[in-house]
Amino acid sequence: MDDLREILEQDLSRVGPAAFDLEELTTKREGVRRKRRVQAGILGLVVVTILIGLLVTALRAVETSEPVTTPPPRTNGWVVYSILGRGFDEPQGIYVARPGTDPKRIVGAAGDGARGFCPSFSPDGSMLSYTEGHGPGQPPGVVKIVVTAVDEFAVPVGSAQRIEVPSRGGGRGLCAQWSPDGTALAYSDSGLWVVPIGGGDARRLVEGPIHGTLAWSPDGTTIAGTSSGYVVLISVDDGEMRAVQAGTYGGSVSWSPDGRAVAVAVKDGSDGGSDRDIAVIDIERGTSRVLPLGPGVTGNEPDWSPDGQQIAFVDEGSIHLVDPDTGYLDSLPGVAVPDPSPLEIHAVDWSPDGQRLLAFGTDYQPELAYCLVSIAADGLGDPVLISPVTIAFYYTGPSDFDWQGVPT
Amino acid sequence: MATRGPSDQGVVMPLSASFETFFEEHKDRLFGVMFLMTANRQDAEELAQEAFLKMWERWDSVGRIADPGAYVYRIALNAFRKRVRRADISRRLTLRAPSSTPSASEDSLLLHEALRVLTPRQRAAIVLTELLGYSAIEASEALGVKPSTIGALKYQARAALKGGPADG
Repeated sequence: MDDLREILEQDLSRVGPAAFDLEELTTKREGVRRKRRVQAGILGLVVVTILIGLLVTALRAVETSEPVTTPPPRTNGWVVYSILGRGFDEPQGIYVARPGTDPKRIVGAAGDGARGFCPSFSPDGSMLSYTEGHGPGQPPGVVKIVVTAVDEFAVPVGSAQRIEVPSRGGGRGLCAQWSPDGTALAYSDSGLWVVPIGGGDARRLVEGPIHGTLAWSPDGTTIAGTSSGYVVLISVDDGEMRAVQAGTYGGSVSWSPDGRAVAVAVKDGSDGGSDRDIAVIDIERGTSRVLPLGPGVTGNEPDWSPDGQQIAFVDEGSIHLVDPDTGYLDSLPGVAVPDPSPLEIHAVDWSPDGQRLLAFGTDYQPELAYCLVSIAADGLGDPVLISPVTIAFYYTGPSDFDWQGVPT
Repeated sequence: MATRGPSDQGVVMPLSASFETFFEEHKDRLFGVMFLMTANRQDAEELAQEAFLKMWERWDSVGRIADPGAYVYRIALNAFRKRVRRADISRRLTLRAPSSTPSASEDSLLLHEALRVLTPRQRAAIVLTELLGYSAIEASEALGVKPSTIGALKYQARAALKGGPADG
């Protein structure tokens, strides 16, 4: 319909030039930059303060002849994910993958029927934990958290530590979380438990249900979770529990890298409760601030970036990034992998260096399937397919994949 | 033949190209396209400025972008999509029925009478496909809808332009 295009072209010329110029744009840009500089200055002060604190601690340790044994940070560069359920084209088990290599199954052998899920690397990438559900011949009512060392190919080596946990169901909700120093795991099962790596009894910090994905504070002193619609903070030292925010859904809680705040999805109250916003809770003051995502944008499963500048979340299959200080909202382009139709994204996870996001999504064409992709956090460059595109991910959830920084 | 609005045929921007040149080259047309979609001068300026600001922030990486012109359109279209979605929800929340009569704002009078009766989504569908030369799949990605929806929006737009109802 050429006349339609003609109408559009005519209207386009009738609209005339834009009223704004580069000078106006420059002024706006300077405003944005000034705000960022102030934020960077504050962050710099925080970093300097922390460094001074660390230096003082180190000096004291030297004075008292106590060895400082902080392991150097490293990443192993692998993505780990689990495939649950039988009868699909990919056998169930736990797999590791990197772009450009075929995924390897590292847990589960053909016909063993064991169900491994919630895999997670230790912060230094040297160990792997996962939950082992019931398999043929295993007694019901007990699931195991398995902890094993892995080599540079992420393949388990040596003997594994198996922590038995009584469970009424198949243990599907039992997902252990590593402490920041990699010396302990926390899990929720009729209370909140912490168990040391390498042996020793599990210690129950609190009784009663703690829901959502548990989140250790960066300094390892506190664990955040949700209970009865509240965000709760639990002291690892003495189990003291503090409720800091109402109106949550039991989803994940994400700590800011400086440990001063947590982000969580909350009911926004504007439409009777079906919409959600993201609340940022100041830990010290106990106050919260709701980031106004606006009607129609739902803040699910917030995940704070390692540099603290953005919080990633998923809404209607798209990935959004919100600035926790200004509320400025950005959206990443649709993920057109493996074909031009965009994936419907369900969950994201930052890479440890904050440069990329690992996303789990649904591909509807040519038929229903799921996959894991790596996306640049600035939206530039092509997404990288990490896993096979397969229906075998049917039972996979947000806690069933983890990564340690994938080189691309 | 419809052109792909920004820079034709995916030309790679030379690294030496300045943002100023890029801005001057694209600002009027991007503003115009946004105006055709929003029928509102202020909205169109905000969307275009937001897109240029983001592009400017990423200008150091522009050499890695195959078609910077197309990319700034994509940023603007993302922002447009978000606004339309918010407007839809807002309308639902306030229980206000969408207006069945064409807007008679001063801005919208700049548009051809036939275009004024269309909804923003319908206008966007025809602007992308007829004016910018997007395929149905590309337009669906830009607007966050299924490719079949683009076909439906175009059908509704054409029907409305011929005097039929402008549902959607």
